Amino acid sequence: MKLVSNVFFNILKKELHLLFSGSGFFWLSLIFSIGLFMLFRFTLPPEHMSGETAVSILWAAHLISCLFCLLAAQEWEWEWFAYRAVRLSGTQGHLVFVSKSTASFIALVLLWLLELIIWFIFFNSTFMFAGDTFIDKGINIINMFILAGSLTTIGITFLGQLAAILALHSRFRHILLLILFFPLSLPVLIAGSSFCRNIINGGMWQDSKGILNLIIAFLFIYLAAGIALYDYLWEE
Amino acid sequence: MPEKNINRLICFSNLGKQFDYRWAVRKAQGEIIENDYLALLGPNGAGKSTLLHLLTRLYKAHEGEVSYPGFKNLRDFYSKMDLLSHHSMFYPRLSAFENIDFFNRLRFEKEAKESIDYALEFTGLQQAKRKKADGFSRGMLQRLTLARMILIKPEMVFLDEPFTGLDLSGQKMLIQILQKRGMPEISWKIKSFILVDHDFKRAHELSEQLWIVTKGSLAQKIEKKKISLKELEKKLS
Repeated sequence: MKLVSNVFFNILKKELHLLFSGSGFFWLSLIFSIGLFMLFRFTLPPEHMSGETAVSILWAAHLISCLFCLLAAQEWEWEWFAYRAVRLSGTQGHLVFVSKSTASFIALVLLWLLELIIWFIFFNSTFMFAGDTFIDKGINIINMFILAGSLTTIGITFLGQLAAILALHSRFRHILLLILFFPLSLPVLIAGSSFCRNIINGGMWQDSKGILNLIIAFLFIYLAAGIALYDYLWEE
Repeated sequence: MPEKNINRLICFSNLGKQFDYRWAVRKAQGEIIENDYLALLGPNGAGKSTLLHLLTRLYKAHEGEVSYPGFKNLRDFYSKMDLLSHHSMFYPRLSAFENIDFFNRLRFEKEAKESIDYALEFTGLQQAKRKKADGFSRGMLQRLTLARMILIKPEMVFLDEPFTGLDLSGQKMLIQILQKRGMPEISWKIKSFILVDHDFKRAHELSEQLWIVTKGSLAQKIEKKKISLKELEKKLS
């Protein structure tokens, strides 16, 4: 048991270290999101900008940022065949899957929070929300955004790790990762953005509960698939 | 009668692996016994490395099977083996120390700062221990792989062209370890190794048995004492 937790924290530490230091994939992803927000905020005329459009921009930026981090995580495993040494240490695949997903989740939720703050700053305009700003709508809306973003991000990390290992041994692993990741992430992504749109349009928590349940269901499907398949997919 | 004393470490039968619908290894069978120090020899593309990877289960076999009767289970096998390959198998953006420490912690519960320092010192990498691996030369990476092996002290070693990139002193270091079957000064004993090397003279010198691989199959198994270097050269050409 001690070895299991030791391995878990060891992989977690390594993944976080690689995400936050060195080439700084995390920061690169954040800069990309800021760039995207600025692009839409300052180039789209106000009459074309609604709350719903703004929410879509936030989710699109987050999805692409997640993908950057996942591609980076796949790359450092593949680059010098480091995953082989992990395999030869006898570490069980599902443990690797859970620890890598946890590290991704920590990084991507932090990314989501930072994106959210910056997005609030850029898009806190009265014209989008019938006379209100986000701040006027109160702290509740922020909590709801954090909840939806976090749940969706868990789904994305589980799916991302699964897609990354599926694509790892392919010659076209980057393209295959994109092909697998985008369509499979659509259900959680659509659910997450619909939840946020409902909230900014004045929808009640009860109305959106069904959407959250859908995200949680997908999250468990990805988790179960990852735990069941990771070991098998790891072999070349 | 001697059958009782034989400790089979690995058995494999009818082993096969395809790449792009071409068999890289086919119908390979054999067993590796404790105190077997063997070299796989053969031309490029004969399937030597593939066979080695199949025995470590890095590659999934398309046919046949590998079993590990000399070990309690697969986990036990992995805890007692290591692969020294021409692929470095490290994280380029971690330092030498971080890489070694990471792989040590995957296998063992205990911290091993002193042992890591010893392994890095032995392989001449102590000065570069805080340097990121992506700044290492090919030879330094191979030394780092050797340092990881010294730290793990595996009983069974798989060597896939391990001399690639090593300078003369690095080669001597590795040759010495293989000749001594480990490092007695740190209580490391290699019970068995499988070496893939294109330098047949060195392979002949280091091993006890020679397995000749052609077209993905084990064509011949020869005891070293029964074949001279000249005869071996003739066979391989």
